[in-house]
Amino acid sequence: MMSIYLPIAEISVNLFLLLALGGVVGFLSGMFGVGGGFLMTPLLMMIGVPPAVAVATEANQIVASSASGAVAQYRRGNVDVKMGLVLLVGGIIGSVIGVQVVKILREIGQVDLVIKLTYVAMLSIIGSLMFIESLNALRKRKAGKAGPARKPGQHNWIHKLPFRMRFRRSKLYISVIPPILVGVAVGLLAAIMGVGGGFIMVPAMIYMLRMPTNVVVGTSLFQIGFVTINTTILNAVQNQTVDVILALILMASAVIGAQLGARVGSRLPGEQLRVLLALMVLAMCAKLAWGLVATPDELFTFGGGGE
Amino acid sequence: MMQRVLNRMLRLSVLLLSLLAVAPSAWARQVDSARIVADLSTHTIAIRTDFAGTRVLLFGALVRTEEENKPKPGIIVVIRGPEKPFKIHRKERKLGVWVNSNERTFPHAPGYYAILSTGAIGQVAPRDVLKKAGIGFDVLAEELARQGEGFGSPEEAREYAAALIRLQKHRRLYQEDDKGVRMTGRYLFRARFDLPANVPLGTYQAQVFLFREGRLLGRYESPLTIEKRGFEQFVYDLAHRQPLVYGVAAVVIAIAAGFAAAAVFRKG
Repeated sequence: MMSIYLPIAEISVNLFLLLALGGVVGFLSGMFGVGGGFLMTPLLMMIGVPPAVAVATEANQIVASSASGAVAQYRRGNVDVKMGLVLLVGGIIGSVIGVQVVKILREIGQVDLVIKLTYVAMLSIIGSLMFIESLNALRKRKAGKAGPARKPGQHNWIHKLPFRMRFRRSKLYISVIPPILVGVAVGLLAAIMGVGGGFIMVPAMIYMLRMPTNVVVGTSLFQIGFVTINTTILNAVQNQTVDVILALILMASAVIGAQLGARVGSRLPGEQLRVLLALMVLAMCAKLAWGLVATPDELFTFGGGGE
Repeated sequence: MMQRVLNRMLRLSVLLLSLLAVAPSAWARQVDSARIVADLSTHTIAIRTDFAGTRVLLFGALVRTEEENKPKPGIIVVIRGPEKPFKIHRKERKLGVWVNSNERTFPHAPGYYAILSTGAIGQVAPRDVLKKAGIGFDVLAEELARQGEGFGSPEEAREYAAALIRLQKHRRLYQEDDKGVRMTGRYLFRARFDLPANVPLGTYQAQVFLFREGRLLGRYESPLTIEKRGFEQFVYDLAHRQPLVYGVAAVVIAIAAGFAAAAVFRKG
């Protein structure tokens, strides 16, 4: 039992518990190309880290795991830098708004509820969509047909919008409006939920922007890295809620986990991975939803700021 | 640690013996002149990286008294932490979801409150005596209910005050132990209390009360400071005094960690 005192969270936590959490979540994040924040943030709150500190510190930790992941992906040529920059413009806008929203919500004592409701809404939509999509893909493959190959001529409403730009690496010629909006949404989530936002960005890139799967993970990590840098600094300045010690412990374990996860992930077929991720997302969602509707044992709770 | 405790015990014993020597044996037999002195095993608790909560000893003695043939005294120790405002919500079901609502504020509730005694405090002293001395969770609840803001009725105020105490007990920041003070012989006593890892920083007061047959004979106070030290202090100060530097440093550390890991795994 080795405990460590976290100076900003102002609690004492078992060091090995933190290392294990970081390692497992890092492994999953490397495997799926998501930041892992949507698992880590609620877990941190569960072990007693104040929600505001969990959200801000998680953003700081995601900087490390996404930087490490993005570099690895970039070397393999899997980052569409131009697309990443367009997504980033939206991400910066979204995170600046998000940090303000959190500040206001904390003042009126509703930050926990909004965080949880946002989680339930996002996770249930994304989870079910991914689950259905990946099951369909699996069934087609079993039936002997080729996977859902991208047809270059395929167009939807997104391709009719103005301000088109050519993204060579993604083999796309589309309007910059959808990627910027995706970026804004992801930036908002980064600030409000303490997540990188990979779990919404990756499906949005695949199903909405129709980017090729091989550049999706690298490009999302590229954007997440810079958005979380922005969120970390904003939170440190506005709320003093970034716990560097906690972040360092999580980084050390998550970075190792992410590298291992990326290796395992590259050997597994994409559809199976997505079924797994979808199930995980749905499980988290069910747990959070139950927590919101079940009658609590204790009706009273400490409000924000006074805790 | 043990050495320091022993040293203090020794100093206290000398104090006690000198006081006993001065006290004339025929000293006013009718008036109970018993008083109390006490000290803590430490007056400063430094929170460092390995802080996981700590236990503090309080020990003391009855002085200016001949305890033979007198009824056993009752001792209550109250440790009170720094006061701060607490906001409390009562959850309410709205559209099927439990929502924080009905916010109320207690402007000055103690961040830590522990009561230790030689027996159930109701037996040590009657309620009005305890109330006058400000001892016990009942008294604290009344005190809180009076200062609460925005309450519709006194009943509501009491309900919220009870909730605050319950929540704080759940976090081990409010404690009571009616076997927490132990007499060693007739004159010496000791008590111990736990400060959990989530203990708030600041100045604490340990108050020791001496009762006999329900009457308050004497009290003694001793301060206790809990503060961050060393690296913990450095990190905390930087985060609050130079938040931009802190934020940028946090990002630089994160990027360095990420790139270092990428480099290591590339070779490996």
